[in-house]
Amino acid sequence: MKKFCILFCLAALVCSCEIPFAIDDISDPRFLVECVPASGDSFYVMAAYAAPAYGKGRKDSHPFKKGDVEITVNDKKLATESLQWTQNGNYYTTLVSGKFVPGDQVTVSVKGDGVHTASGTTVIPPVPSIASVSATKNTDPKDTTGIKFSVKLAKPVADGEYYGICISVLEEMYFVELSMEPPFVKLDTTFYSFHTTPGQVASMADVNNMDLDAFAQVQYSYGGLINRHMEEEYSYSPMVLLGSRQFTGDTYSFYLNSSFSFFDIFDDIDMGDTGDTDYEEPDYTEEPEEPEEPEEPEEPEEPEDYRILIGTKTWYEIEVFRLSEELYNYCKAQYLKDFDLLANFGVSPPNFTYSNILGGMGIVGGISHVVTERIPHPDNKEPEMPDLKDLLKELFK
Amino acid sequence: MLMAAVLGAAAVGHAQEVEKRDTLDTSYVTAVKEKMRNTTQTGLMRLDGNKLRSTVAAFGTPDLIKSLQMLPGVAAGNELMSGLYVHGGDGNDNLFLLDGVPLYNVAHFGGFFSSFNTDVVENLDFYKSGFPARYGGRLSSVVDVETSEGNMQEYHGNLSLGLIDGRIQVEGPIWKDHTSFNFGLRRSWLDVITVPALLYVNHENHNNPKAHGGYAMWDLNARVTHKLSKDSKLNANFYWGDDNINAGLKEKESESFMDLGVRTTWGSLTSSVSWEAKYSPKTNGKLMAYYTRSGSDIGYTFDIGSIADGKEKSMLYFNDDNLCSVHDAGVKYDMDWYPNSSHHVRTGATVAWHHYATGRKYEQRGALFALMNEGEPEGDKNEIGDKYSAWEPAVYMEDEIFLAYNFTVNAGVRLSLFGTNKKTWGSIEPRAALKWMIDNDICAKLSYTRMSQYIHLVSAMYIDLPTNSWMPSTPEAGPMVSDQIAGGLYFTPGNFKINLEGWYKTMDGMLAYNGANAFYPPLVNWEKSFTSGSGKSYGMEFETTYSIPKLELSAYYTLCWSWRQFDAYYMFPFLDRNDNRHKVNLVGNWNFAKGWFVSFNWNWHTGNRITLPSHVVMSDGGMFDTVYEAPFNAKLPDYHRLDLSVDYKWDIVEDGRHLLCFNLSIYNVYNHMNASFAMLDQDEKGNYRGMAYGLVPIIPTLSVSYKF
Repeated sequence: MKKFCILFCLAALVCSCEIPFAIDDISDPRFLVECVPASGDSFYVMAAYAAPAYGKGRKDSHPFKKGDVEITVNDKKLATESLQWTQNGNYYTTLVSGKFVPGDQVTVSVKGDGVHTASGTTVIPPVPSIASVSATKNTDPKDTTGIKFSVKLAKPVADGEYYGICISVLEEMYFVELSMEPPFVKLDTTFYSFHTTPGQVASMADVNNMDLDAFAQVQYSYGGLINRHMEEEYSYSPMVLLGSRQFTGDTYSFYLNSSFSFFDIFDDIDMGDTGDTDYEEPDYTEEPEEPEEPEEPEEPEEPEDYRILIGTKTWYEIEVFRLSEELYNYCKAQYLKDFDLLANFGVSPPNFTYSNILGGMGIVGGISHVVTERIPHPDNKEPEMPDLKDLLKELFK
Repeated sequence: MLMAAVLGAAAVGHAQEVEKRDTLDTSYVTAVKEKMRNTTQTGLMRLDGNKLRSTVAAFGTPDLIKSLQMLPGVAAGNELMSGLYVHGGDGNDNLFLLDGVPLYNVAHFGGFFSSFNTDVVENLDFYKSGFPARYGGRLSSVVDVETSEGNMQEYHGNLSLGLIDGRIQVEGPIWKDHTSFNFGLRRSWLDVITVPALLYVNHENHNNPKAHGGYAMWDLNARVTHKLSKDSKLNANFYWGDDNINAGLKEKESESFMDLGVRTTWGSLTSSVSWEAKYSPKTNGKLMAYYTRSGSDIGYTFDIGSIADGKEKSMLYFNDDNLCSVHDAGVKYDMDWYPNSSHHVRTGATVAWHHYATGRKYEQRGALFALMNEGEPEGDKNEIGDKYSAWEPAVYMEDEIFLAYNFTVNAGVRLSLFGTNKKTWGSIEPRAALKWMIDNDICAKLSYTRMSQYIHLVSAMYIDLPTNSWMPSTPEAGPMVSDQIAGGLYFTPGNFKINLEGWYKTMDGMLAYNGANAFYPPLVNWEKSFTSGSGKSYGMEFETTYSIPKLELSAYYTLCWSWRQFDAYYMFPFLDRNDNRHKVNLVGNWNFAKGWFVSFNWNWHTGNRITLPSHVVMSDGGMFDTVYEAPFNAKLPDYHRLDLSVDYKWDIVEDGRHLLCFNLSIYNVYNHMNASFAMLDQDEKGNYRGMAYGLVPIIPTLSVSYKF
């Protein structure tokens, strides 16, 4: 009886811990708008009907039609009446053709029946001017972080300037192809490329610093639209976000293959939907100069199919972005959404809510970018043609 | 000459009647409490030690900060925590002074208990607006706590046993009529309670693995007063409070062992020596030198290894310590001067040296470590961190001017500098308060104040954790500044006291954490993870108290708006999490029979705000994306709670000198589970709703104390 009473009391306490409450007054239906006008490029406008989570005035979808979007560039309205929307689930996109330049002030408004008009404004920032880029091998024996890159801009980065960096790794694999037919020996190359993520300068000191900003990154599509909902149609590269404080004067340095990744910390935590993309997360712990492991060459049934890998060359392309302040804030908020657990418990700031859309949610944020020339890996060397005699021995053994 | 002396004496009498608290006679405070309208400042509340000790206490331990949370214009934040959000402030912008010395860490056990032992508190002044020029360095409030001088004639004391702690307080003469002491010690005994449990577990495990652990908090207050003459005295004050958590496990096999330990220590220490003197009938002053520090150390050790010939040899050893600290040393001088019957001038200067440090020390070694790191036999030992030093000189002057037509003005200015090796900032802070005695029972007040704060609390969380650290302003994160206007009407009809006050406050240069959620804020370059913004708060407070002998009933109501603008969070203004729009407190104390006292406190306020997904965008396959429209877009359910306390004082030998006191305190009498946090939830029909979770049920506690 005594135990029963104790259990009953405990159960009563536990049951009373849950307090359902209505919060249906916090919002009306809104439009979610994402638009990233880029310099020298056309841009997309993505819009979606965002229903109040708690049911008020809710409907399943809202098809957009011609004339639902208005674009103003430098106070001049563009002709948008004929713009077609493409549906992808509940998201709609339309392409605004043109060649926009830094300094253009772009205002995007999306309207529809029964929903507030959503509008946002941005100014396309200047194109970053790169003075030099260098790639050096790390010489610190205690540091296993690979190649260090330094991107030097033409002038020091000032407070309030925001940047992003994407890096592509390009690999050329050189094969000698042997065949029974003349010319018997042929040089062949296969080309691989993938986007990867720069690690912040990943010395232990920085890791211990827990400067989580150093790992903030978003998926960026080449069309200039950050669009976590359209991964099937566009390819993405991870863009690392950089505030002025990440720069030392005019230079930002990073290691490509960090032995430490921010995500190592959260290995055991469900990160939620981080926006699947069609690129594969590279293994940062690999040595940089080693190529992705090629498919195991099948044992040649016919000697003419026989190929021997004789060397690999690696290049890097760095894309440097200049982001408007609102775009930087929005990108960072999207990134931080994956770490909102404590904020939902009310014990940590809700730093994942950024929007610059009046009457709605989302972003109209300008961007501009520049791509460096290909940077060769410091260890690149011309492949050496093997001795013909050895090759023939190999061929006819 | 004689006439001048008489006029001077009259002036002193008049001014001291208004502000006797500032002279040597602190016992006058209790009497002044009921004459609140006589002070020029708005937003000032005075509580004496007896009042604090008689408030309802959670866990049976009277708590100074929780008493302040009940007052109008103050939001408490998370339940049971020692949050103090005054007039829309951020909780880290309150100046706590213990005998005039700044105290940085004001809570134990993550904020559950305040650091102030009420047994030794004489009184406190709590300013929410109308700050006099003698105070500076924080934006939102001043909590000026003064401990009691020891009795110069005879020994008195108090021994208390509560649910979670025990307290002892003793005072008395060291040299009768010349020197006295007052000593207070408080210690929790949760660690003592856990000892049997650990013994049992270890016994069941045959001490392998052997567990150890416990939590303890303690604080010690000591004050020695020595009268040099009838007009001067020396005071030495000391406070030391710490929290300590440790836990570990050691396992031994025949040839190997594993040792794991975690430990956390944090706390504060303050000490001061002061000399108070009345130089002439018109002048008195106080010179003080002080030192204060606050800090924490959070660490763990992991050690595995082999045992050969009974000796343990580490194969893999990690030791990690995260440290933060702030040290202050300073000298200050305050002077009161009554030049004539119309003026009371206060002036003073202070200079303080600050040292802030945060860092991490770690060591890794052992044969396994060497194997993992390509045969480095020496292991890895390193220390990182940031250190800052700063100087902060300040001078102030204020004059209480008694004008014609019952007008009184307190006008002053505070000038301060704050210099680090990177930058120096300065601040000119005007302070002004105006009082008009409309009638004997009614007066009106108006005040304007500007306050600057040069230090920031580096925290990634809203709760008071030992991982939080104080850092000075830097070029990237400059000082915070607030401007506040307050005004009100104050009535004292019969046995009632009725106050109606309003305020409007702006805050600039506020900082908010803008990194990924983490218990550890950044250790170095902390500014990288913070964003600056501004805040605004306005509202009104209503306070009424009915007092007759043996009964006091008070009712407080607050109407408040609290806004924030952090462009990096959201480009439009949004309501703060502690925007408790309405707040009501009913407080009562009744001495209903000889030796019997009952107190209650009923607290109701609009729920804290929280951020929940506001919208959903449906995607293919019925999946949806959640969208957040704005920060703190949802309101938790209303908060309400009743606390009750019954005291019985048994006069053991019926001489009024030996009392045995029993106290029954019930926190949350009707067991209303108030929301601590909330999440998005779906009901049975699939409709979305908020689901809040309450954590704090009814907590009855019994304590007993012996007073002599």
